This record gives sequence, C-alpha cells and structure tokens, in this order.
Amino acid sequence: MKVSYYPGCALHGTALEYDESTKAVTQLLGVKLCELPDWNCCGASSAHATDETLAIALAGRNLRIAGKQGMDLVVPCAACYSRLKAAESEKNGYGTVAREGTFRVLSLLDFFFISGLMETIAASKKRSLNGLKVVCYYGCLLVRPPKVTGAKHYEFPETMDRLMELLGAWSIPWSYKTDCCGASLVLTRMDIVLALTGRLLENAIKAGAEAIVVACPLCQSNLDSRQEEIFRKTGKQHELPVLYFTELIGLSLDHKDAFRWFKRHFVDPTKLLASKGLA
Amino acid sequence: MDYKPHQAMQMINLGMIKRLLSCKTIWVCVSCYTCSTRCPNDVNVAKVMDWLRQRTLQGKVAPAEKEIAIFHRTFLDAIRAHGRVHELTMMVRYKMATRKYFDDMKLGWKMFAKGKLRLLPSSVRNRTQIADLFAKDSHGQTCGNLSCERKRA
Repeated sequence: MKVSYYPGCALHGTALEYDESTKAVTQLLGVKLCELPDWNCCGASSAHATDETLAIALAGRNLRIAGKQGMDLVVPCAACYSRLKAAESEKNGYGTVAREGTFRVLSLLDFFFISGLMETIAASKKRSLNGLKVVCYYGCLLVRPPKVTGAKHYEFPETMDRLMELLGAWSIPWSYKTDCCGASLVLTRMDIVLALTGRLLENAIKAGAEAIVVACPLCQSNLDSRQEEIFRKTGKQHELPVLYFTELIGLSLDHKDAFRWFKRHFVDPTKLLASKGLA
Repeated sequence: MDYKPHQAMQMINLGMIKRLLSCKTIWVCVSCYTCSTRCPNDVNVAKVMDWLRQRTLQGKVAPAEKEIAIFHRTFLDAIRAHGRVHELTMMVRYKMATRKYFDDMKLGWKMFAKGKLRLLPSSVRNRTQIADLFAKDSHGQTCGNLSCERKRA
C-alpha cells in the first residue's frame, strides 16, 4: 500500500518521535509513505487567523502537489489536517483550482481505521499492553469543525480508544476527549495553556489514567513539556506520560526503536512501562 | 476573554464592531471550533473571529494582545523565508520581537538536547512559488492565486 505523506513542520522538529514512530510502524505494517515532494507549511493557525486567502493558498499548494502524485494524502498533525481539509472544502476560487485528481485527505488516525490496518495490527501484534490504563485525547482539530472533517462522532470520538483496546490497553472513557489544550497560545499566553492543560491532566488522573494517548504534536507538547511548569506554579505533580498512539503501536509490534522514541519525552514513560512488564 | 463568543456575535448584530476590533477576545480565541460546532443557530463563530482579526489588521487598529499578533506575523515571516517553519529561528525571532529573551530557555535547551530542535532549517525548493502565494494585488490584498495580476509585496 502506498500513500502520500505530509509530515508538516512539527514532525521535523518538536514532534520528531511522532514522525519516527509513524514511519517505523507503517513500514512494519506494509505501508509505503511517500513524503509529499517539496511540501510547504500549511499555515497552521497564524495564516487563517490573519489572512484567509493566504491560508487557503498555502494549504492549496500542497493539495495540487498531492493531486499530481495521485495517492491518498495521509496527515499525522491535526492542525495540518485541519488546514488541508479546509482548503479541500473550499468550493470557490483557489480551493477548486488547488485540487487536482481524485484523492482523499486523511488524518493518520483515520487512515489506520479505513485502510484495513487494524486487522494487520491484530495479526502482527507481538505483545499486549497488559491493561495499561490510558485516556485518549483527541484535541480539537481532528474532529472539528465536523462540516470540514466529516467526523461523525465529534463530541465523543472513539477510534483511538478502539485502537488502544486492540493493543491490549484499557482505554478509560472520560469527559475531556476533545477539550482544547490551548494550542499555539503556549508561547504568548502560557497562563491559559497551563490552566487548560492542568485541567486535562487532573481529569485524566481522576478518570484513573496512567498515561494520555494523543494524535497531535501541539497537544503532546503542551501536555508533556509543561507538567514541570504546572508543578512549579501550583504544586501539583502529575507525572503523567503523554504518548503518541503510533508509539504504542510500535511498542505492541515490538519495534526495536520504541525506547529511543520514549527518550524524547519530558515525562519519561519508561518507569510506567516497566511497572507493566513492558520495558 | 473580555467578551464571550455569544456576546461577540450579539455585538455584531448590534453594530458594535469597532469595540470588537480592540478587544482581547478575538486574539485569545484559538479557533478550537467548539463554538461553531455547538452554535444552535449554526453561526460559524470561529470564522467570524478570523474575520474580526483580519479587519483589525487591515484597519490598522492596534491588536489588544500585541504579542499574539506578533507571534502570527513572525510565524508567517518564517514561512515566507523558507516555505516551512524552522521552529528554532521562529522562536528566536519571536523572543527578539517581544524582548522576552529568557522565557523558556531551560525548556528550549531540553528540547534541543532531545534532538527536537533542528539547528538548520529545511526549505522548500520552489521558493518563487511560495513568494507568489504571499504576493499582494494593487489593493494590498493577498491574491494567493498563481495566475492573478500581482505585484510582489
């Protein structure tokens, strides 16, 4: 199976382990990821917040390139996914011109679901996650706005939960699956991000989670790298590992590099995994 | 947020746009789309927030959250330069523009130590195409369409 792959800027930088684990597990599962040639930044929130035409144009250029490649376009980063879907759904003007050919724009999470990879994972799984208690955090842009993403269950999505259960984890239902982490305000209004992520972490722990599983680079970064700051400001120590869903797939498939990815985290998941007999 | 989303929409109904252009709400909004998804009147509130921000910048009204506006500008400047955002350069430029040189230094160093901050930017090869996307027409509006009449901004 071959698909176009749009990593986005974060996967080449602060979300390196997301890129590494995605490439590693897709290779094991027989998927060839073809990085979109000469892709440009999707514009993220800064473009659509300040210049709508530029926002569609930036995302649209990538759709043109993808059209020429002729394969479905798989997008790991939720923000990039949101922007590419927005350009795709732009009915007039640049959006229609931007799209050439017939291909789908899929989030990495959706790609796992609709391409038969769940069955492949079930067959290739080397070990179970031994009832590791997780909550799945989808964030905003994977599901909203539903008119753009086409998400059916945008208030209480369950795809990641099903995936975690397939791997042998216990995915606990909780009420904060799609509550915003504060996203790009982390550099400009850190107080807001600390409040929002603090609430997410507390409620994850209240739900009984030992780790949070995510599918978005900015969510992962906010939840993982700010726990120390939250502790300094509020005295609340959460020590909750925040893992990309692809890292857990890799662990379950016994990929040799899994522990290298975990080293890139701020809250080290190794101790928790060792306590579950997974290290 | 000085005005909640539903208050902002009502202010538009009442013609109070000028006040909205100088409020914090429109900048603190992160476009999480919860409002647009749940509005019982099907108003795309988040998109209206986008429009309000764009009107503020076009009308040269001073953004009430200066640093957030600077962040967006710095981000877009980074895209214009390389076609992709090099996180390290972007953060340095942002900190210089806001003079918050030492915030997050420890975190930045840890990110670097973990290999998560690339030293060198990776660039789009066809940077002329990127420059074209940023080009503005004679009214100063981004045209973003590769074939429209334009002059380089």
